[in-house]
Amino acid sequence: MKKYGYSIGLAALSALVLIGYVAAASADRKPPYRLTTEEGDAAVMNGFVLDGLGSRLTADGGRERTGSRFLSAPFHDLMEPDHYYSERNELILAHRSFMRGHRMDDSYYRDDATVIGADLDDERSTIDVRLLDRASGGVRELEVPIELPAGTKQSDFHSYNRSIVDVQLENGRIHLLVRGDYSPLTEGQRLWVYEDHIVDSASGERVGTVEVFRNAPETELPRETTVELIEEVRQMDASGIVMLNVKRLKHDDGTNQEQPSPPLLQEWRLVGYDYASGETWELPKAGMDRLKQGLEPRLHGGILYAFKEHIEKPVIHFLDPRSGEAAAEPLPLEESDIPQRSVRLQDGRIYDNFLAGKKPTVVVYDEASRRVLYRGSVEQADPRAEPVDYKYFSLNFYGK
Amino acid sequence: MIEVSDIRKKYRRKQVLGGVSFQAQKGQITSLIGLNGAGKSTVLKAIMGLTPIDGGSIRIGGQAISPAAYNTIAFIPDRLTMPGSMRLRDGLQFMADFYPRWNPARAEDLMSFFRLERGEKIGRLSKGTAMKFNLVLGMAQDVDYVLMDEPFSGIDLFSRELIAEVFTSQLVEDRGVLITTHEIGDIEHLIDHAVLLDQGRVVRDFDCEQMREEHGKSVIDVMREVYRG
Amino acid sequence: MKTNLIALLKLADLEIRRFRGILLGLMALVALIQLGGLSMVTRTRLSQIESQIERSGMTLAEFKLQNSGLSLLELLGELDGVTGVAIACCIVVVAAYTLIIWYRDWFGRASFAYRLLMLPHPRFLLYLSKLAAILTFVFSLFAWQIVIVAGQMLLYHVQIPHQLRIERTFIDTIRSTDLVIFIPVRLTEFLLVYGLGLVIVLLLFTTALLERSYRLKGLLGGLALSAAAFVLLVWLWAGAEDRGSFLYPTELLALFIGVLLVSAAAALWLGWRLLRGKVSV
Repeated sequence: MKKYGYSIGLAALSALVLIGYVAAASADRKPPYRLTTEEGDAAVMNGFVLDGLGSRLTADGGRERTGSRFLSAPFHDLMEPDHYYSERNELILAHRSFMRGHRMDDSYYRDDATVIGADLDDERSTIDVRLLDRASGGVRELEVPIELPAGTKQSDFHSYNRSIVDVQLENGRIHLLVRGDYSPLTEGQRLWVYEDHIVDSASGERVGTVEVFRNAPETELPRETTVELIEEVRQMDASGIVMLNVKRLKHDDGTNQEQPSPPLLQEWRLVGYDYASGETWELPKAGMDRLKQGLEPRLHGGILYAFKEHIEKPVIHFLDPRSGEAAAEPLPLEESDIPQRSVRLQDGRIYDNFLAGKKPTVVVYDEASRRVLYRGSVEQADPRAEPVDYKYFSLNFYGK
Repeated sequence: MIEVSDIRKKYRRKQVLGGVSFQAQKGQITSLIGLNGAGKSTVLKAIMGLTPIDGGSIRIGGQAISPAAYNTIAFIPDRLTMPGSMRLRDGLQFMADFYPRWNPARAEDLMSFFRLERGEKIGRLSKGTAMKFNLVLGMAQDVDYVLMDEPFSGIDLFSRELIAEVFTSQLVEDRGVLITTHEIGDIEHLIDHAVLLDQGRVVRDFDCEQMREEHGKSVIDVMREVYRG
Repeated sequence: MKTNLIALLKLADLEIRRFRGILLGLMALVALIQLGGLSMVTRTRLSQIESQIERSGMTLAEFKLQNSGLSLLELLGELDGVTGVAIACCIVVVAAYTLIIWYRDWFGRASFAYRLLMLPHPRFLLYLSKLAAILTFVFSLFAWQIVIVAGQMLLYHVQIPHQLRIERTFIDTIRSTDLVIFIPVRLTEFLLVYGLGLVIVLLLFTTALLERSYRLKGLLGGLALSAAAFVLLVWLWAGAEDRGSFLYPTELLALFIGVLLVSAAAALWLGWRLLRGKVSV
């Protein structure tokens, strides 16, 4: 046996070290943090996770380590949860085969009966539309060819960056809101055009096209117009209207080399569009004045939410999108220890993720009654770990 | 017996063996004779399963070669088969470890007979000494057949005599011995059965005693006929 | 059966002993680089801090309040490149030896291959014993790396005064460095990395045997097979990052594991067949 000493010794010692390592790693499997319920029903937090300090926490006590150094990280079906992909995750969970290969399509719409996915192929100048009948599971595909808007130049080099920013289903008609960035035939810089391509849902035939908005192209170099779709709360849910954020900026003309000043906002308007009627309007001055107090607009279900998210004490204003007047009492949110915060509007609830008492905290309100449905905070499970004080955890939807 | 039937082998476009057939019986010393490159080494390696054949069959005691067969047949090739860093005693230990039919007593006898130092490193042995050690490794197994490839090539005269002595001892008595050589001189008087190969084929296959009695020819005479004739 | 197992262990022991010098040398080299490197980096930083303190007249505690101390991760971070070299050495040497472990039996003054191929045991034991040896080397280097990191933590405690230290657990430290790729802390990561490594070893083994059976044609065939498997595996892994892909990441993972298993089975079966009747000395 003595002559086998080296081999046996090598194998045995290595095995001992490895066993010890496995034991240590198992003991350390869970992160030293926990999301505890302080009041209310944790059920409203189903599908939500708090990500921070290398861990992913759920309200039912789940704790998982995260990190890019975990090589198995890409092998998860759900996409890295952030605001945009959270909704996609819902779709992937509910309609796995429909979403296969189309996880990155431009835009989705979902109601009780249907899921519609639309993707614009810039090279083919065609919109590919897919409809899922939720009851039967049947899928239909449509192709909608589109042309350049009037008054724009065809370009072989420069892409139009066209994409579908919203899909709606209204009275048996599919509305595909296309945004594109074109060169005008006349003089001037880029031309933003938003068009609503309307297609009959049953036949797939084009019913019409409504030009929702087109900006006047700037002719002076330092000026720029930006046109963005107002961030929609729950993009894929039905929403009868959309609104566009139109800003005219003047950039620094470069005379002062040392300290270029930030762009000046010269003009700001909100343009609304109703899918069913096809009418557009501008938010009246009263409403704009409210927004100019520093609020950021969000839209959903016929209500214009306006609030500044990243401050210690935000107040959520509920405005009528046509008149700009208050539609309901403003809701002041709890004061946060630091300005980092995220507010999420979902399913008639308001999820407020901020820092209270130095700890990352989530408070969920019922939008209509303003009642607190849930309150939870992140605690240390192990006193030796890095403290959570003043650490921001992001709230994301990641499904279960 | 070892029965070789119509074995063929091609190596890099050359037909090394073109249908070789012969038999080697137990209790006899069979010699495969041929000039360099006649395919003699290849035949031994093929029998031992150390190189594949393209056609034909080989049977040892009626069976095809298999790992178990290595308990009944030993091969003494023309080169060292133990790592040079090992010492002679390590080599002996290796054989004892893996071969159930290893005979340590006989190994001892042979080591003394050849005057080999156990502590010597295998890599440092001269050609003659290395061959002697190979013989120890091969002959100290209780096997039925022993194959030897060119046991005398490049060996000095006295070592050759020593090695030849082994053939006459009881070591070889009831075993089947198959040896290849092109230097027939040392053992002509010892071999029972001769198989002459030329360019991958058997050209003569005869019993030596018979050849001497009936035709008055020695093996060398026949060789002269075949290779010079 | 039992005799075969004993023979396997003896052969494995032989292979493990033959590599002893190189393995121990490799371990010494890696320990020297990682521990010596850490010591040097620590000393440099400490003297930097010391001169800073002298100039400003603060105490250590005050310094820590202002500058938040010196963590082991920070020091290891400076050692990143050097650690990478150490790991690369281990990988390169073991990878090379997966081929050398076969070829050294054929080439050289002695042809040990004759002896090994004539053992009264199934020849597949040669494949398994060499595999066992390589696995032993890999896991002993794995274990050694764990020991080195523990040594680094100890060194940190010894060299850095407690006022400047930032405590972290052992596993936490490893998890926060790139080393965790090679000494994983989670089962899935271990299976992915070492499963892939195992398949590469098996493919290289079988390539060597293909070459020993069919010379150049065999070598090219073996390399082609290995490259194909490797490319397929890499493509599957990369596909998981592509969100537009037709297959879901979990499906790609299942395929990945499937390809690993099929490649392993194919390599083992082919190796067995070649050893049985096609290998030539």
